Amino acid sequence: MVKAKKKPISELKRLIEPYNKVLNIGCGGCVSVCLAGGQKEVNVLNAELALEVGRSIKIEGYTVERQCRPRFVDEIEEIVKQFDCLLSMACGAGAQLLAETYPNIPVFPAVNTIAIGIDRDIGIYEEKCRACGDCIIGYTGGICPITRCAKGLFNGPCGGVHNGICEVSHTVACAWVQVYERLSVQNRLDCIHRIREPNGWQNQVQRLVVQDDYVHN
Amino acid sequence: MKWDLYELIRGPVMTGTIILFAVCLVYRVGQFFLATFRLSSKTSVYGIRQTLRFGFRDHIRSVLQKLRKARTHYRNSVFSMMPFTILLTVVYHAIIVIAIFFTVGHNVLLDLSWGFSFPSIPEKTMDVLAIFVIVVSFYYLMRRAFSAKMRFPVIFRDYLAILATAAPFVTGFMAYHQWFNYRTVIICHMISGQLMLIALLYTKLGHMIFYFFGRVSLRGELNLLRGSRAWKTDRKLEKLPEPVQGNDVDVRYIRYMLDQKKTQMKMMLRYCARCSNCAESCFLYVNNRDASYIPSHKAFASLGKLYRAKGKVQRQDLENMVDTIWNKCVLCERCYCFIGLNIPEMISLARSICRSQGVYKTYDN
Repeated sequence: MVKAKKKPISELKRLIEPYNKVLNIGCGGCVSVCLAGGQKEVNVLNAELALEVGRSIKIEGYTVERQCRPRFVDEIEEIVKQFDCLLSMACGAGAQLLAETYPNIPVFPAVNTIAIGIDRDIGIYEEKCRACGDCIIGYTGGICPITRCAKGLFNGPCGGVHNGICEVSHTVACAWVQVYERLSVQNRLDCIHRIREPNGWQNQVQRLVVQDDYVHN
Repeated sequence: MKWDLYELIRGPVMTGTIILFAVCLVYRVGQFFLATFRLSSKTSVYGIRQTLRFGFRDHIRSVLQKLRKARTHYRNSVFSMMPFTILLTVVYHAIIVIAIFFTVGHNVLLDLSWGFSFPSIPEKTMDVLAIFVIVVSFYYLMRRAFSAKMRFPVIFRDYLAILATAAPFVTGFMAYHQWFNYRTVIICHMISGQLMLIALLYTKLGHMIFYFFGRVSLRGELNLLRGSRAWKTDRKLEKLPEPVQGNDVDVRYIRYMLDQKKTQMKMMLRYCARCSNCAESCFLYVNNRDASYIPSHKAFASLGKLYRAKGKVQRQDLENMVDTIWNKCVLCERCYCFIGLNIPEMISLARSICRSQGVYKTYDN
């Protein structure tokens, strides 16, 4: 699921500086699960902000079930009108839907959306996917080189690998060495013998997902 | 004039019942139309404006496309999951409607009283259909009593509903075959029929009427046609909950939230037939096979309780709901209701109410 991390409080303070009535809107979806923007985090952040800002401003919180679903965002239409600005604790998608739904009022993100990832432990999440839209892990032994390789190489490894460690940092393992090892265990090394064409990263526009069974036109 | 029970029930009582039925029907239909509003044709099922136009031609095209992929659609549909139940249910309900209008005896009486009648179907056929309804009613009754899936949310009213539906058929069948005292039996038949007509509008049997609102008139991704209406909210949420101290709950705020969508929610809670067929569409139920995962049960155990208590609940009651509405439901909104009730809407309202009192699921313990 989507993983996010709370923005530094100083940045949030700067964002809401000019406003006196702030509504902090949490999300009951993914950010709740990764402990970044659920109802509990909304309460905590509100208390922190009230302390940090120093002057008397009105900071209220409300948590909707999903900020990426219009009907849940619509629920608070009348409440939103009573505030100067909105803080969204949802992922980028949720925050943007909130901004789209209430275009007359500034919406600030309270979290940084980091990744699509997995849960390693409570509060520890690891990025696994960058949603590039053209999954190749079938050829790379279930390891995503776009996420894992510092250069996002399609044909690796590069010369910067030393004993299976990436040149970027001694804590980063080389994704391509792992790809090689896993494929050799599976006897599928032919998968990476062929040169893969580079992905057309340029000209990327907003993607619209329409499932085949639901195409209207 | 000599006082005669048969004449009384056949004449004034029957006329009264039909007038009452008609008036209430108009009231119910009016209530529905007042509680909903018309959507523009460009609004998608999610209530957002569509970027793609969806006109009549697209309608035809999408139907053709669906036909082309009929096999896939069939395999993915709820029909393939339980064809027997669905066929049985459709035929059962159809016969009930047919029996009211197209039975010879009914039409003769109609002709005598008001001088017009509907076409009748042969008595022998009607006899077979009546036996079918009686047998299926018995099957439903047994299923209610003995199937774990059906029994879990059952209350006495659920049995009563099946009995009330079967009663006119049993008595009608007996009357046709002249069993026992014909006069007594036919009086019973008329009384049970009248009771059923009234019950059709006031009890959960009303799902027979609500079906056409829920599955046809409302716009929803699982509905039969591309409907044109959506629910209004009675009152928009205007104030935020006050923080609650300790073990208190703010009953006034819970009531305030319950009133938000009162008409819609009350209608949906009233007309739920408790058929438990939504169970098969819940992936959590399918995985766990535990009756407490049935979507309708989850709605009744949370929002149903709140409405029944008129918001007067203890904090403990709300905390008990957490397991039902958070752990046993992920709000994926894929529950399929045969009558067209919006179960996720009910569960999400229950969640909002719990949230307003500071009761919610945390993921770090």
